[in-house]
Parts: sequence; C-alpha cells; structure tokens
Amino acid sequence: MDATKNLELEKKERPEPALRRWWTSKTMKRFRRNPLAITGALMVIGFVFIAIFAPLLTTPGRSCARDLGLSRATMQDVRNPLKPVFWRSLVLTPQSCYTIPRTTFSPIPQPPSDQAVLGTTSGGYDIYYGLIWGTRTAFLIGIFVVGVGLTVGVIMGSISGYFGGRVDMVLMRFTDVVMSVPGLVLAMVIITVLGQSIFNVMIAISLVAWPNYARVLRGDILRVKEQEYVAGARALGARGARVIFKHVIPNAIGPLVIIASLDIGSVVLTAAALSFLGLGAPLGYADWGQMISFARNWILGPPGNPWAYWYVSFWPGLIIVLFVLGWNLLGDAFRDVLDPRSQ
Amino acid sequence: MLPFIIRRLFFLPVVFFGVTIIIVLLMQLLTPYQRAAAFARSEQQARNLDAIIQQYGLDDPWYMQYGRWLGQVAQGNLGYSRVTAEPVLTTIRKRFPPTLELALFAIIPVIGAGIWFGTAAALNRDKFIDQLTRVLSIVGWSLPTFVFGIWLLVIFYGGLGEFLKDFAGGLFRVEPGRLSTPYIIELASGNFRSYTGLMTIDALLNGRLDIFWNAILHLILPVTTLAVVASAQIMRVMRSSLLDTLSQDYVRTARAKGLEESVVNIKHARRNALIPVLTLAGFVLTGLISGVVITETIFNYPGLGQWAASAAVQLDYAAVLGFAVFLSMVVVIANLLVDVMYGIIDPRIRYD
Amino acid sequence: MKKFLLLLVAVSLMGLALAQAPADTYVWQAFGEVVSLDPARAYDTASGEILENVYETLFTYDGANIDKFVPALATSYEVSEDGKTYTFTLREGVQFHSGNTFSCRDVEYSFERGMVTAHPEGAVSYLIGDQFLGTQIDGSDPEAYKAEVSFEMIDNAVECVDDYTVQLNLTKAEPALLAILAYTAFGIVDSQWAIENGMWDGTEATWEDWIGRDLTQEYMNDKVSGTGAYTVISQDSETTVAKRFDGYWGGAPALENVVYRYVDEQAANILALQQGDADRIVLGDQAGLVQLRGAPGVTVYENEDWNPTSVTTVFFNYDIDTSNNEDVGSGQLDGNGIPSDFFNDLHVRLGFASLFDQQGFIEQVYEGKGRALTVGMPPSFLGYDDSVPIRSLDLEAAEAHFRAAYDGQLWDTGFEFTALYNAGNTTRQTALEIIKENVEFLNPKFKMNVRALAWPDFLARTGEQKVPMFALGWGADYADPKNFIDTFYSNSGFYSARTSINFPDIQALIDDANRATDPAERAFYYSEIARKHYELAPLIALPTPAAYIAARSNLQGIYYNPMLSGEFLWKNLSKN
Repeated sequence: MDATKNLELEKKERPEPALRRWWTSKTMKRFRRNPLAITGALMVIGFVFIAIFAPLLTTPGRSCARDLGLSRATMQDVRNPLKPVFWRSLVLTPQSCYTIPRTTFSPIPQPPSDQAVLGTTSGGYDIYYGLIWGTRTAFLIGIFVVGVGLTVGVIMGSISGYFGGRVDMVLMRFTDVVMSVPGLVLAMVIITVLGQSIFNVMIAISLVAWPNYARVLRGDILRVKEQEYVAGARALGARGARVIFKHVIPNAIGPLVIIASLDIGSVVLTAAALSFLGLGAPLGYADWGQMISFARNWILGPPGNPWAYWYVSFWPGLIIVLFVLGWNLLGDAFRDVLDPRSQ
Repeated sequence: MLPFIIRRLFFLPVVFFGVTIIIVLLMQLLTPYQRAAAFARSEQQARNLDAIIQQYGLDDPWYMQYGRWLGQVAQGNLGYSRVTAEPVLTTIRKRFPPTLELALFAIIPVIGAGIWFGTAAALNRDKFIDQLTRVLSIVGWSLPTFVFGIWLLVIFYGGLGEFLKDFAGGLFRVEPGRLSTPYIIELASGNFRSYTGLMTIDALLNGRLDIFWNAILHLILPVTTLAVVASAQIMRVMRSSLLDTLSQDYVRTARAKGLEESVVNIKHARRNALIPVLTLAGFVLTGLISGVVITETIFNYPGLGQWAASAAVQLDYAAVLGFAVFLSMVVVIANLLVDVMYGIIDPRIRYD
Repeated sequence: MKKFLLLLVAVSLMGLALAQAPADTYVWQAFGEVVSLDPARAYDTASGEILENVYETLFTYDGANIDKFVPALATSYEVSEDGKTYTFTLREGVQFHSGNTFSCRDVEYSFERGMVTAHPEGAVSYLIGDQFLGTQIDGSDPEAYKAEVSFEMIDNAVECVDDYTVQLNLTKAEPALLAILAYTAFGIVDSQWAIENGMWDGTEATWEDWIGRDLTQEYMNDKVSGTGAYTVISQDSETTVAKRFDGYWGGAPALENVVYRYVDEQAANILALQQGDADRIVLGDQAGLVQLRGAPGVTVYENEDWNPTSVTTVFFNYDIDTSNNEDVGSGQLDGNGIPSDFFNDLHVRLGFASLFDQQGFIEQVYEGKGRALTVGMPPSFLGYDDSVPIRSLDLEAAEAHFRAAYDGQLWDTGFEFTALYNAGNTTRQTALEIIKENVEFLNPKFKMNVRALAWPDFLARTGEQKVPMFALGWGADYADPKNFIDTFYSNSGFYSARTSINFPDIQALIDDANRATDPAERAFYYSEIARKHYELAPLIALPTPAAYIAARSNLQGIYYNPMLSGEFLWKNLSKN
C-alpha cells in the first residue's frame, strides 16, 4: 500500500490511534516490507472471502435450495443483497448446503462442463462446489482445532507453570505421555472410537494438538515469572492468582495465540490426511480432504490417455497447497518478526 | 550423566501405563457390541456378536480388561493382532526393521539437505540462496504427503508421459513393496538369512548385491516422499539457529581474534547451531514415524505405519495398544539419546 | 570411477531384468488380508483363495459350473432313501504335502475337527451344525456347546466304513449337501501331520480343550499340509508364497510359484498389472476398469453372463425400536417421523419399490453392465425365474401407492426418517440416494435422509433393530437358493433379527422348498417366492453387476466360477 492511499484511509475512517500505532509500528513495517508475507496475507484474505461468499459463488443443490426456501424461479435471489434469502444463505446457512450436489451417479469422473465447471469426481460430485464450500469447512476445522487446542493448552500450561512443583510434574508427565504417541495414530484411534464426522475429526486433532501449546506457555510463564515486573507486582502486595492472571498470562499468551493461529494451515493438512486414510467427513460433505480422497483412485487415466482425469486431483491438490502455503508464508513472516533474534 | 539417564529411564513405565490407560479408556467409549462387531469382516460373521463379546470378555469393566492385558504383558505376550493375524510381538518384530530402514534412509537426505540449505541461507542472508531456501522450506512444508506420494507413484512407476517412459532406463519402475517378486520367492524358500531385518544390510551380509540394489530401488520413492516434508522443517530451524549463534559474543570474539571467516562459521557457529537442530531431529524422528503411516500405505511398504493405519481403522484392540506402547517407548528412548548427544556436542551442558 | 559406473549400470540392468513377474510364477494382488490358513477358521475371500488350492474337498465344482460337481478326493457317492446318509468312496493313492498317505481317517479327522473346534468365526457350525448335530450353536461358550453337543454326536456324524469309504450321518435331509461340502471349510487336512504338530489329537479325551479354541494362534494358522496342487511355503500378513506340489495326484500343475500380495492402494494394483508385475488384480472399485481396458498386455475379461453370487438389498425394518432413535424422527406418523410399524403398510413398500430406478442404476453405477433381479438371489442359482416381473421406477404408480398408504393419510401428513449404509460402500449409498431423491421429488412432505455408519457401528445399530431402512448384502456360502432366500425372507433367517420380517405366505413357501429334495419341485417354490416378492415388495433387491477378471493377456486357463474365492483354480493356469 502506498503512502497516499494510507493517508486517504486515515482521513476517511479516522482509525483509532492504537490501530494506527500498530499499523505503523516497527514490527508491522518489517512485515509489510516482506513480499512473501504480503503474498501469504493476500492468499489467506482471498480464502476468507471465498468462505464468506460461498453461497454466492455456487448454485445451491436441491436439498440446500429446499432448506433455503428457493424454487427454480427464485434461485437468483440468493445473489441479490436486497432479498432476505441472500443474508440467510450467508449467515444462517442450512447444513444441507454443505452437501455437494451430484450431477450423476456414475463412478467415473466427468470432465469440466457447463454443469460442473471444474468437472466432477467419482460419483458425480461437483468439484467446484466442493472446493468453494470446503473453504468454509477448512476454516471451521482450523479455527476450532486451534481454539480448543489453545484453550486446553493454556489451562494446562498456566496451571503447570504457575503452581510448579508436584502439580507441574504430574501435568508435564501427562503431556509427555500424550506427546509420545504419534499424533496421527492417536487421532485415528480417537476418530474411530468417536465415530466419523467432521466434528469428531476436529475433536481428535485438538486432543492431539494441545500439549505443544501447554509446553510453550509453561515455558513462557516460567520465564515471565522471573522477570522484574512480576517481582514488582509481588512487592506491591499482589498475590497468587492475581499475579498470574493480570500479569503473567496476558504477557505470555500474546505470541502464543499468534503462533497457534498460524497452525491453521497444518491443522487443515492433518485433517485432509485423516480423510485420505478414510477417517473424515461423511461421503459427499464439502471437505477438501474428502475431495483429495476421491482423487486417490483417479490420478491415473485410461491407457493411452494417462492425464484424462487430471482435474480430479489437480484442483483439490492446488487449493490445499495454496491454503496451507498462505498460512505458512504468513506464519514464517510473523515468526521472523516476533523473533527477537532476527531483529 | 548416568543419574540423568537412569532418571529418564524411570519415565518409561510412566509412559507405558499412561499410554495404555489412555487407549483402553478411549476404547471404552464404544459399546461391547460395537467392539465385537469390529471383529466381523462379513455379514456372515456378524451373526452372533454376543458370542464374541463373551469369548473376549468385552463386557467386563475396563480395569478387568486392562488387567487381563497387563497379565498377558507380564508373560511377554502383547496379545494378538487381528489385522495381521499374528501375535502383536511377532508383528512388531517383523515390521519395525522395515520402518526403521525407511526412516534411516530418509534421515540422511533430511539432515543433509536441511543442514546444507540452512547453513547456506544463514550465511548469505537475504541473498538468492536464502530466499530460495525459505521458499523451498515453506512449499515443502505445505505439501500434502499423500498427494505428493501418489503423484510420485503414478509418474515414476506408471511411467506417465513420453519423457518419463524410459527415464533413467526405467530405474524407478519397481512395484511398490519391499522387493521384487523373484526375490520374495527366493526369500520364502529360505536361502537367505535374515540378520538384522534391514533388507539392505542383510543383502550385503548375504553377499547379494542384486538384492541390495533391488531393495534400494524400492526405497527411493517412499524415502523421497518422507524426506521432502521433513527436510523443509530442518532447513528452517538450521537457518534461524545459525543466524542466532552468528550474532553471539563468542563468534564476534573469534572474528575479532582475526580467525578466518570460514573457520569461524564452521568450527564455532555451526557446531553450536546444531543443538537446536538436534532437538528437532528428535521431533523429526517422531514426525517421520507419523509420516510413515501415509507413506507406507501408499507404497505398500510392510512396516509399522501401514499396520497402525489398518489397526486403528479396524479397531484392532491389541494391535493399537501394542503399537502405541512400542512407538512411545521408541520416542522416549530417541529423545533420551538426543539429550545425551547434547552433552557430546556441547560439554558445557549439565544434566540436573 | 568409470568402473564404478559400469558396475552401477550392470546392477541396475540386473534389477530391471527381474522386475517382471517371472514366467513360472503367478502373481496376484488384491485388497484382502489372509486371515488364516486353517480351514476350520478361515471364512473370507483372501484366505479362501489360498485354501481352495491347498486343501481339497470330497467333491468340487466342475470348472465354471456352480451346480455341477465332480469327484475330487471322493470318487463317487450314494445317498440313502431318506436323504440322511451319504456314503463316499474315497480316492486311493493320494499324498499329502507332508508325504503322508490320504485315507478315510483324514476325512473323519477333518470333519470332526471342524465340529469340535466349532470356531465362532469359522464356517463349520454355521454351515453343517444344524444338519449334522441338530444345532447351529458354536463353540464361543464351551460349556453351552457341551450342553448341546456331545462327542458321541460328533463321532457318529462321520464314520469310516473302511480305509477308503466314509459315511456321513445327517440328522435331517439336506438337498444342498454336495454344494455345502465343496466349501473350503470342508477341505481335508493331513491328520497325522496335524496331530504331530500339536493340534487336537482326535480323541474324546481332549476334545473339550479344543471347543472354540482360537485357531488363529495355533500351528495350522500359517502352516499347511493338504492334498492340493500347491503348498504354502511362507505366509505373513502382506505376502503369501505357494509352491507347486510335485506329488499332486492330478498331475503337477504348469506354474511353479504363486505369490499373493495384499495391496490396498488401487493405483498401485492397476499399475502393477499394466507393468506386468502382477498377473491378476482385484479392484475395490470396479469403475477403475476404465484405467485398464485396452492397456497393452492386459485383458479385462467381461461377460454379461458372469454374475457374482452376492446380492445387495435395501431392507425395510418391520418392527423399529423407536425409543431414543434419531433415525425415526418423532417416532409418530405426524410428518416429522415414522412409527415402528411404518413398513408394514403394503402401499408404503410398493411406493418405495416403485421409486428405485433399476435400469438407471445399472446404467450409471455399473456402466450399463449389470442385471436387475426378480428376487433377492443370484440369477445363476436354481429356481431363479426370469419371467417374474421387476418393479422399477414408476412415479405415477409410486404416487398412487403413497396416496393409498395409511388410508390416504400419509400423503397429507408426510414422513421423515433416515436410511443407513456402511461408510465407504458407494453402491449402497447411491441406491439409497436415488430413492431419497425420488421420494422427495414426489412429495415435498416426504423427507428421507441418508447417512453412513462405520461398519461395526452399522452392524451394531441394525442389530439393535434401530434402523428403519438399510442397505446390506449377502455373499453365497454355497450355491443353493436356500442360502439367500432363507437369509433374506425367512422369519428365522439371518436378517430376521434385523428386520423382524414375517410374511406367512412367503414363509410357507420357504418351508415347502426346504422339505423338498427334487430340484424341479424346489425350483417351482422359489419361482413362487419371486412372484410374492413382486407382489409384496418385502425388500428391494438391487441389480447385480456383471463380474470381470482383470489379468495379463499371457495368462491362460482363466474361467469364472463365482463360488470359488479366486474364480478359478491355480492348477489350471499356464503362461505363454
């Protein structure tokens, strides 16, 4: 963004001084100068838009239209901001809209056509629809897993870091135990036991992800505890819980939240891997992992035309890579910026 | 150092009980009926689930089932894996060496490329090689292993496209698995002695260059799949930790002493930068073990990962327990080794 | 350096030359694990394919015919007047792989061993328990088993008249006995070898120890000694290696080695066949054949008359447990659910049957290669009657039936329920989705959801009678209509526990058919059952796909017998 635009922005919206301070801070300047970071940010923003406007970018399937109260004649209303159904489809999306419409029941993938612009997978599932709506699923999975993982991690980490001693030892041994089981396998067992659904995939990955956060936070708390302002607060008579909640956690948690939120990309990758192994969303649910697992048997074409089904693996593969890449570019830049060593 | 090692070894039983209790409790979320049904492969076998529940005592309280399992373990029996139709211990004995072989072969390019690129990037900060490393590491890190693996399989084994048809004389066109059919028959006939279970080493010990070569060919694709993602991580850590050490006092001192730049870089900085890499190597090992689940599934490689994948999906109780216990022990011991290596690299580190 | 390069090239060429499946070896790859090599325990296709080439039965299938039997270890047989005593004359001069000579005591031992162990996951008690011992109980609870079955009963069931004559004594007539005994569970094992290696010693003294014993942990789980043309030299979870048995009584087969590789990844299987690393593959997803048809060196044998002996059906549950059941909505006929006896209304069933598009299903799901069924059994079986009409998609008829259902009430109130299938089975899923789409199109007040459950959950939930409508199937244990009709339609059949099916008209015909021994008479009853199936629509039978065999073109001796786990026997194979 160039300077004049920035000025305009200031004039028009009069951003809060805090926001401006943040935008013009040294950290953000460094960040803005990094082309990789900008690319990553743009990619993630692009996906956010796709997720939000999924209903406008696709034509609803039969059940979805039914639940939105749309008939064939009123189908276009979904793109008209003046109609209530526009807002309903965006905000109170019926669950049935996440089911990918099938253009045919044929087990053989169909090439791009008017009906399905990116082609269909085996079973006639519309690839375009699945990818667009899958963006919402991806964000849901990412945000849920990081949110729950972080919450559990913060609780465990702060208890452990603050109390220390025996509590710390028990909790840390427990995290060690959880961490010593390979994550993917533990997640697989959890999903198999809980049953297959998107929700259970999210639960399983969160249950595997939290120990990392707990450890980082604990380490930070231990460090912050030694620092002067805590000692200062103590000296002023603040005690126990007050110190930990008013001073220690807020200081330690900031970087952790950023680091964790940048894990969204890899969380989505893990969910996709589970889907690939057959543990994921129900068949036909708009989910990238499932789109990839549809592609599993269809990378190879018929003899003489080996690339005939390229669209089945290419588009979902591309979208997943772009999504994860966006987050990782962002994450890399942020880690650089936050890392005092690389100043 | 010895007390430290002993203390860490005491952690093994904690992991053992922790891991097994977690899994046993998880399994209790299923009704006995569901767990019995997991035993049935066809409609036919579902006809008397009650009998199976009774036979395996699936409706007993969890601590009784756990106790029974512990009793077995005490007799050196980890139970029976239904997925492989053999005792869990036998399966582990058979399947650990292939996985280890895969991981060992993968770790060479991972550490090699990781350290080389990481060093080059840190020493030439913001130059081309640095940017390249960063892009490579981020892209490699973003690749879904499963897509990458299948693509490799189809392109190199399937020989897709005219160019690849005879690429390197069809060198990569070996079927997924561990060995080609004639060697499988030969091994089954019993003329080949297995010393270590690592096919490449056994082949050399048997003086069979052809089997050695065949085994190597079978390792290429899975090792590549595994290595690409893992080396991306190592590159990043190597780069940032080297940057860190380069800015530290003793390096400056060495420079001030007038030591030549390359000597400073390699002798002093890189050695210290290796410590975080070593930590990461521990992680990478765990990561590789997770990675083998998918890689082995795609390349039909008869290792622990493939077994774990089908055992977890089919709720093979004993197999999941045995696998989890075994691997968590491996992880704990590997981490212990890493910690001991710290002391060797940097004698200043104290264990307390 | 140059020398090193040369060496490298030489070694790589060596690797290359050996890459293809060798000419004296048959390599096949599929996605099933070999569970056990013990005939008393194995009950799956992958194990079955190995066993049918290793152990032989008294009579076996005549090539591709599933209803003609030819002598194998027996040379002839006689049946008593009442159909309860079978006397087999056994083949002389037959050797086991171990070198022992085959005689009547091996037959006696093998049959008795099956009944003594009565493994709950094996096939023996299920297939012959009723006919030989008067009960189908298995050995999962040894005490209960002993209470019903005595060693004397087992001992009397199979008697050696002399070294080469065996007599089977049944408790009731069994018209399908030869078909049943052709299954691998009744393969004859080498008794001397088995006893020497710690298996049951064949005496009453120890029989109790063996009831329900977990045979997968015993010697015979991965070691064999049969009379078949091949013997297994190595067996583990991913590879089985078999070698030609040179002492085979029928003459040594052409190919020396057989290697079975268990490969889950479909792409890997297809590529292996294309590259010549495998001689035959089985696909999990039949649609993958498009990736094989026309590949050089590969032949995909497809034949419209090849019908697999398995049938998939959509079942109605006649007595749904509606308590705490999310799949029946409100559990009432109020437009938001269905009552527990919903499918007892004839018009409801006829309505649903008129909404399933048989031909469309064949066109779309089976690529046009399949056949609609007049009744829930394989079309190649005795009594299958092509002249019986088949209900298929007919929206007008469906509307008329639904309007008539519940005295006209249903059409106005509507309903909602959930139909289930096991996750991953796309055929079953698609069948249910086709019905869903049509029923919801017919009347917006009709709501049908389709959901998947993992296999164990699916079995458990249908077993609890909670599922109103579900898609499941059956694979033939033996080539007789009884195996399907009883299973699907009888009020004491396998599925009755899941559907509470009970149609007195059909039940009477089933009982008649089971009493009859004359094939023509039996065929008549089964044809009548098919007509009742049309009239009453007790379940919806899905079309059966045309079978295929995908193999290398140079593999000779292939035929299609759906009752063999491997469709053909290895001993007939050769390569040119």
